[in-house]
Amino acid sequence: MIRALWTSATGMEAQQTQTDVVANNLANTNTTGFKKSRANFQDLMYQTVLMAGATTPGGGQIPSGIQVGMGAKPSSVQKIFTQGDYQQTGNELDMAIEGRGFFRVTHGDEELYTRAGNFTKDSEGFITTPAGDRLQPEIAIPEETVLITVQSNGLLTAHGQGDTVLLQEQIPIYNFVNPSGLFAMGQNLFRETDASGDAIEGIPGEEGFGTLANNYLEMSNVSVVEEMVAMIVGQRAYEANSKSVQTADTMLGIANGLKR
Amino acid sequence: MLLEMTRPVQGGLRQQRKLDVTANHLANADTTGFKKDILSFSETLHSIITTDFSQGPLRKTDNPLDLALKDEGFFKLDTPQGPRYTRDGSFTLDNEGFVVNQTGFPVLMDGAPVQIDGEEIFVAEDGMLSVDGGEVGQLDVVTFEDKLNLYKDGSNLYLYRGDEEDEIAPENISVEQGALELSNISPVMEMTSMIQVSRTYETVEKMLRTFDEVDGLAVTSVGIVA
Repeated sequence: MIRALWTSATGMEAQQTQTDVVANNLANTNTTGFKKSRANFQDLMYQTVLMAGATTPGGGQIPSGIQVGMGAKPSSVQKIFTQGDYQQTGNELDMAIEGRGFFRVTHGDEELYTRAGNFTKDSEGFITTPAGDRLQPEIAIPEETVLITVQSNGLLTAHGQGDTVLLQEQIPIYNFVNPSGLFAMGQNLFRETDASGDAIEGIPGEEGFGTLANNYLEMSNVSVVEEMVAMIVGQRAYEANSKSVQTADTMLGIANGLKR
Repeated sequence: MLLEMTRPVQGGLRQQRKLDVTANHLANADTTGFKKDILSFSETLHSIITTDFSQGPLRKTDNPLDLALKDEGFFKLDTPQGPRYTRDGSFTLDNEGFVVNQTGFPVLMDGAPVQIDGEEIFVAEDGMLSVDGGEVGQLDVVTFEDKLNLYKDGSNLYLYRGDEEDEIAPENISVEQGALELSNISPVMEMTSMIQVSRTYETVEKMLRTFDEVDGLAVTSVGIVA
């Protein structure tokens, strides 16, 4: 009886996690380069009440035992790195990665990775994220620049007046064996972990790396409809589990009422 | 008198066990590849639990390493405790590029863990995994003649209590890429079962009270000379 109470509590907690994840996905529907997460669930351990194969008092064998499950647990909250939609912005420092890869930026004294390509310039002309984290390698755009172009292979060119080329720099991108293993830092930033593997540097367009699209931004890959459905499922499952709690409670009440 | 009391008590305990099972089903309403248990009672009122391996509905996810089995069989995983079997195909890559499940156990293909290096992962219906057009390995999808020996080990895994040699290749293998198999519980059935449990429990309570009253009368009224 008490078992059923705790079992349904684990179910309710699992559904809370589900709703938390959905809420965060929905909150980031319009976040550039955001990758949605998904909560994965597993069943908990089983309590073996009666072991199969045990000998009965009559000398027979119990063909199948009794294993009562103890509920569910979230096994992981997995980032899903499918491609987001593109939005044309016309902004010359906006870059979207089509395919696999991350930009590397310095955040404080740490090297972090991001899919959000909404870059801008700081006071010294360096390319930075809106939060002021400089794109790596650091590129300073000369003051006299009138036009910046980035080719799909990551070659950034700063054009001056007339036909002059003031600067040409290669923007590398970085890839991971298991991007789902990256640690999400917030602010669209990811940190490499043991699970993600080391960053592999590459030129956009090389095998295994995506290409850059200049003047475009990658939107989040959240599908509002899918999240809404997930939210409904989560809410209803939560309700169902609360019914188990109620039933267990009623039955306990009856048992307590036996003794007048 | 005592015997009369034990019967309804046994009945009540059985209802409690049924609720335990129902509560576990509802807790796992969103667990990938979860299979419900059927609780039945033998003639001698021993409880028996068997797993209902019927197909769960599929949910499309478009994640290349989400695999769902649309027919018989289990994926085979290599764990430190020996082989384990699962219907949960929410796989991912580890830091070395091995295909692993969410707990980090390698997924076996042709009997061995497989390392992937490339971009486009494609899994054919028969479980053949190819990367960038090159075949890498065939997913081990196995089943057993006698599924009664499959035990739930938690974390969506099954343990086979028997010889690994008993594995057989299923007649029909159907792997769907970019989808997950949902839990095969039906909330309506679980709710109905819960109502039933709770009402039967009330009945049992009434029986106990009646026996108690009869006993009370026997003690106080029988033998009184009017």
